[in-house]
Amino acid sequence: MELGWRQTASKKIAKVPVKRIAEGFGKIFLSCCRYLILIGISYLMIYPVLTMLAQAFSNPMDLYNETMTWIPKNPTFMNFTNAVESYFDYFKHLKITLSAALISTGLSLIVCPLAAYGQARYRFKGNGLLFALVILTIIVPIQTAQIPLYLEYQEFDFFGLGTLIGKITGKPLVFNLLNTNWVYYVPAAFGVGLYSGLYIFLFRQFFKGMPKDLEDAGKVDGCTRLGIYLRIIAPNAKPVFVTVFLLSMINYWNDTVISGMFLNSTEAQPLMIYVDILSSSIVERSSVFGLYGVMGSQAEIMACLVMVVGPLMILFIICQKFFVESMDRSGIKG
Amino acid sequence: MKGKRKDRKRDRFFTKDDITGYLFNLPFLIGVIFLFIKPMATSIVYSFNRITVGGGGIELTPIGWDNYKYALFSDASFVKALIGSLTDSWWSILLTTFFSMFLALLLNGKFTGRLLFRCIMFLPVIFGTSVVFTLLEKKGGMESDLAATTNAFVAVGDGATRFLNELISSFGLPDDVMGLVRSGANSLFDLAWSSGIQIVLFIIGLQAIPSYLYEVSKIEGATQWETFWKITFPLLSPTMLLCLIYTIIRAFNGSSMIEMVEENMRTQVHYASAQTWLYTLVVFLYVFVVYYVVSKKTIYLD
Repeated sequence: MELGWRQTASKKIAKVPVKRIAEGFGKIFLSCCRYLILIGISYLMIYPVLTMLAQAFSNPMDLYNETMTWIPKNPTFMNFTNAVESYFDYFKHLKITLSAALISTGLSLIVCPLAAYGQARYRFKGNGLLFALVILTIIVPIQTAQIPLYLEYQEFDFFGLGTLIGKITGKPLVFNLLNTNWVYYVPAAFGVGLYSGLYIFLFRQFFKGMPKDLEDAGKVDGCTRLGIYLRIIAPNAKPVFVTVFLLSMINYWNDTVISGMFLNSTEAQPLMIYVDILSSSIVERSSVFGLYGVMGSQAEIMACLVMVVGPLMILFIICQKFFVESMDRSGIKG
Repeated sequence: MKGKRKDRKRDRFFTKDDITGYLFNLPFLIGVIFLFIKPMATSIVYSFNRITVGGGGIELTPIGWDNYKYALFSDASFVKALIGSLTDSWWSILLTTFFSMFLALLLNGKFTGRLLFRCIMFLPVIFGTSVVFTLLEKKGGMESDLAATTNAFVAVGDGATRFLNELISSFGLPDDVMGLVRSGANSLFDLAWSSGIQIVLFIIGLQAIPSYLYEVSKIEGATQWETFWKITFPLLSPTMLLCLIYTIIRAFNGSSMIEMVEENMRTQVHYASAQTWLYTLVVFLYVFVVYYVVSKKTIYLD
């Protein structure tokens, strides 16, 4: 009897540490695996970016060097100054890109959540149809409407209002939006801008997941319907606002589809499409100078690319903590 | 009698809720009518006509289904591209979805350096959709041509995969296995770079799973493996659906089809319109089928 008790007791004592040690090893092994995989994939992601930076800051002659590493041997700003001084009107195009991205994103952040809130919280006739339209704007490629939209923007009359005014006063209110940033602002202001459908969708899912008690409290306190949205819903949806802000900035910054269709004059082009066209002309121009020219063009293209994505990287670094943390709190249901 | 009156009240076309709902959607409604439905309808009209640019502008001559017939039965390159975009993409769509889920799971736990890794994983969100990335890739290609003649230096896009290749060949596996692994490594690069937003979506989806479920399963003595399959995976299914559809649309919008359409838009607007509508129909059916199949298995909390 006593022996039996002792045996089980010793078994218990022996079992626990072994299990714990095994668990501990398992955990260490798993976290090692995690780090290995993450470091491997991070390498794939960092590699092109670091190479771009390294080539942009190095002397074209050093690009021949097989021992070239990620740290340029003779770091220079030569490629940047060459590009800006001779052919790359950086600041003009930066201004166009910045205003296009900032204003359109701002407009999207006003219109998209409003539409999403209406769809998420109010049961009205055509609610389902509106949601289907949101999905359709995501699916149908914008190239489909290229020519009709081109004609619409060429003689933009505020959806018929301008012509109506013209019939009354004899002077139609018509503007040509082509080759201006308005081809970004107008659709963004009406919730059909670049990826607006996706943002409406994201906002809608988030609002659907929010507890209704909050709004009931607002109603009891005598808030208007718009007041409830502005004072209760919007402040509580900050994480989604941050996420959409960053995504939208990135998408407008990187856009070449809309600018390719409606901004044909080089004077009016944002950075991204400008650099795309520029890069091929740099190669052509420099191939006259033989291999050195080609290397020089390589370094200069990289310098241009750094200038183009630089502001976006800086924005990301500033917002990064807010963005990464906000994801933890946004809890959008797919 | 009373019930009927109530019903009638409910059936009145505009209630206060209706009007508020419409008011919230007013800007979007205007936009979608004038800048989406109207141009799309015009483009459908175009697709049934032949367009010639005359003195007074655009002239339309109705020709019925001819544009569609030509696209489907006479234009071999179109049908080929359409079928190609369907067959080439499905496995990469599946891979992207599962790969990004896997990465999101890795990034989600608490560990040192999480912020750093998350930042790195966002690089594709910034670069992935942009010209910069294609230029980086293109430049890589240009250099490898040069490298063959001048024995110059490591190419940009190639570099990362070349490193992997060297790593793989150092294991000394048989040739055919190596080839397989090598092509896998090459596509890993593309995979990692095309799953930026999907990782974000999955991390957001993971955060939406209430923590009490994990606490309960811990108390009940479930292993991590069981917890994953019984809680995390089912509750991630809505995100998975969203991700699948997003990836499908992204894959199609980046396919050679769109380039073909863009090319045609410059010369034959009517034919390009017919092409995009056929293409849209196919994407729509694809998305619909995926949605229908996956949403049957999707589990929503509540």
